[in-house]
Amino acid sequence: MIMADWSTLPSDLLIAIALKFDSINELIYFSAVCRSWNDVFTVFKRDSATPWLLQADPSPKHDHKLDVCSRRSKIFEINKVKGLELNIPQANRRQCFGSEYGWIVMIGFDDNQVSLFNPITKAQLTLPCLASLPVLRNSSMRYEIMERGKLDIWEPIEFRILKAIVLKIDDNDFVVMLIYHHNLESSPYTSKNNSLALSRPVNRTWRWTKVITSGEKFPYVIDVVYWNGIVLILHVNGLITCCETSAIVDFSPSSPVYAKPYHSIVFPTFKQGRVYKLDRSGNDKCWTVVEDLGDYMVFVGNNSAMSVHKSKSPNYQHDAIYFTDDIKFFWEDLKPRWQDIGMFDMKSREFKRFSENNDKIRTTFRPLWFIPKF
Amino acid sequence: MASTSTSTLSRKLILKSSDGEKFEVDENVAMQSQTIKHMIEDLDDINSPIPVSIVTGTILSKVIEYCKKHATEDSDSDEQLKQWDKEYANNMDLNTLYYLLLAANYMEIKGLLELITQCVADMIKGKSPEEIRAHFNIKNDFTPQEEANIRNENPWAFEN
Repeated sequence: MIMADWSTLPSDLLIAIALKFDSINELIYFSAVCRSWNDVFTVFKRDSATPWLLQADPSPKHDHKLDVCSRRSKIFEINKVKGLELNIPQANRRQCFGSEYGWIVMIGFDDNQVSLFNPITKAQLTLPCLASLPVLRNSSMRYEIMERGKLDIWEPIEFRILKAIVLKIDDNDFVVMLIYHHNLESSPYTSKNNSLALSRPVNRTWRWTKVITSGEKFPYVIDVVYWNGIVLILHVNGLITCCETSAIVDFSPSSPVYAKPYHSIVFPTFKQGRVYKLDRSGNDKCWTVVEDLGDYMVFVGNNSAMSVHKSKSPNYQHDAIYFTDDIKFFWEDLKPRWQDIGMFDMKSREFKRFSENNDKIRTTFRPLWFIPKF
Repeated sequence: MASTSTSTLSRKLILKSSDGEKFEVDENVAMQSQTIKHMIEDLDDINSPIPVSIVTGTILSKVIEYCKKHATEDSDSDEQLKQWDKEYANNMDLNTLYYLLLAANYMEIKGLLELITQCVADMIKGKSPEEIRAHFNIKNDFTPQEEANIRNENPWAFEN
């Protein structure tokens, strides 16, 4: 028998082996062995235009061990897929939000520190501390980010982050937008006040800038969508405000960014599986019901909303909406719970949950979608 | 006896390795291989030897050993079968593993392919690139520049 030459193993077999690894480190070491093995790694990199689901190990031996379930099987069978295990102690006791640029936004429960973090490479960009948010800077009230507390809204809970969105301005220029809820500038018992703030990692002055959405008409921000150079801010009453990228590019920590009403149209709510799209073609912008998403799939939840073409994610089902559970404030209650992660199939109009057969989990980490970059 | 009646029902096939060695096996054993299954469908004379062209006799005998074990649905529990798989893979030297991997791929035997890829992956896990090269006797064919690039691209992986 001729002496085996492992460097000449066919690439489909090398891929089959590489798929068995448990960590990205093993994959990197594998890629550094020789040229032909490195080529296989390149295939993995190309694949990483697909969203991954970052979720906590359902039966953690350590609090901080998070699993990345990757995308190698039909996604609705995701529980049957062995995830890649990533050890991310950095995410311990932090709120996390995904993005499509490899970054997740991490916000510390204890230290109020904010950063952009790449869970694969562990690269990190520091953002200003929450203490420099305009509302907290100007407030004489004591604040704390509530991790545990009471769900009762009459309790004087003072400050919470609802979501963090990553906006890509330029190749290496990212801006982070926070949606926060506070009752510091008004009577604690009467009003909910949501606000927005912007910052970027390179800001020397280490401050957040407020985004002002004019007047009473636009209360309570529920989400922000960054799309085609425009930031759309969705308010709870269905109204939309917007600001252009140009306004964001030049923001400075001392001057707020102003958002203006967006064509005074109201967005519909997701009811009975109806999906709408914003028709921008005419002068009169309007919402039209969408029957299918065609070759696209949409990922929503604890992340900047993203849509992906099927060519980028051949193992996912297109014409579908993937979601992670985004129950607000669940971390206040550490009772075991079902994870609400799944997919809405536009064609069959059915929900498929990924966690049906799973045991309940007990974790403070909320699952999120992100597109890895490494 | 039940076992005798099944074996009389089962047809025998002859597999011929690349170096001309012949193996007589039960049809249900050979059918574990998708490739052979397809070959039989196209075959007029079932009594003539079926060539398994890229697999040597030494390797083919190991493949048949695996297929025999997995063809019989007898008293073995899943747990016992797993244990058998483990011992089977652990008893192979690296050279045999390599050719078994090629054979499992060529013959399309899914279970065997899974078993061997997992076994190889387990050998790679926890080793540095240098240790992997030494283990598998692989030559480092990167230029110093290329190797530096890999390290620079993923500095976090090489920190320890």
